[in-house]
Amino acid sequence: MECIIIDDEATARSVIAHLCSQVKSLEVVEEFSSAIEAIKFLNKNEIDLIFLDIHMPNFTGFDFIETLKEPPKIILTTSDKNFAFEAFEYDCVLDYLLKPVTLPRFLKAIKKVEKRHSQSIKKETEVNTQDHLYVNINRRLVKIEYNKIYLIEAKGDYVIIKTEKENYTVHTTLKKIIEKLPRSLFLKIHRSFVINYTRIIDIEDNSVLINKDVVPISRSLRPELMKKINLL
Amino acid sequence: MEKPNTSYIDQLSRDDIVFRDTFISLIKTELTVEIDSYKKAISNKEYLKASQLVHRLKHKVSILGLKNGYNLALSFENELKENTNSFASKEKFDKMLSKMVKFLEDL
Repeated sequence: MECIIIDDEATARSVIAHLCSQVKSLEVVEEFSSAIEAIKFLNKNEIDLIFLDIHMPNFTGFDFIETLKEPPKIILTTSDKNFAFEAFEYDCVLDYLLKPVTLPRFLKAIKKVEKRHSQSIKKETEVNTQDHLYVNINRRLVKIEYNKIYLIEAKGDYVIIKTEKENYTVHTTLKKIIEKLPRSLFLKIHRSFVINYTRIIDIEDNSVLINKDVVPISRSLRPELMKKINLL
Repeated sequence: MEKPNTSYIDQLSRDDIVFRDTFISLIKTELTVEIDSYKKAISNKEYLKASQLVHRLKHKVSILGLKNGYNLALSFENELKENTNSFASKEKFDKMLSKMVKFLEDL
């Protein structure tokens, strides 16, 4: 899971980053000292989890949550016990960590997140019984079969769906498109890339060759890819 | 009277000496800046700003294992927020900050 840390205090960010480094499935892709900076980042990037400090000057963690249309999973961090009730008013908030955060408590929170993460994957798999999707290209609904897609790349407010014959630029997010795709074919291997892993040509260290594209693999997403492939 | 300690830092670092040293250095740097800002806010009578700085300092109080110190910081933060002009906890809080600085210098 790719995550970001938002906290105005460098010491607090350092604690969370260090704890994340001890969990293989977590990768800190960015740290922010203000929520405003993080909003700019989230407008262009998708992540799985946010560690969010509640008490920040000018723009609090709760203000930040209110601005997100589709918030990812959030773990709140704070030095105050008295925000707990308000914290769980938000569905996206999975846990509430009191500073200074200890490793056992941190791991407990991550377990909750992983459980929710796998539940949402299961739900998506159950829902998807189609073998194609329709995308809106210049007011035309174009049918694309799943097995024709080999790569999907996020580019700002758009995603590029790549097939052998054609590339389709669609105004959507990687998150939305993943929800439509079957897990039996597609896998997110980087915050900007989803691949059809049955079309991989080779895998080298931190990249995948798929058709003619070389695609980077995130450290935290590599174990999931290795699980999917039929490794001798 | 409780004393600052490195129990939490040791627990967090485990055997990672590089992280431990970097982390302590980060606390020292950030603590110095925050104390300066806090003193400036108090002398300018900007008590709400001072309360926010005390809130941030509260985390470092906990990191250095000062459980009673945390409660003291919390009381002081509330006094500053309420702006009663009679900050009963200020003297003790300032003393605690000096202890923390001295402790980190000696590490």
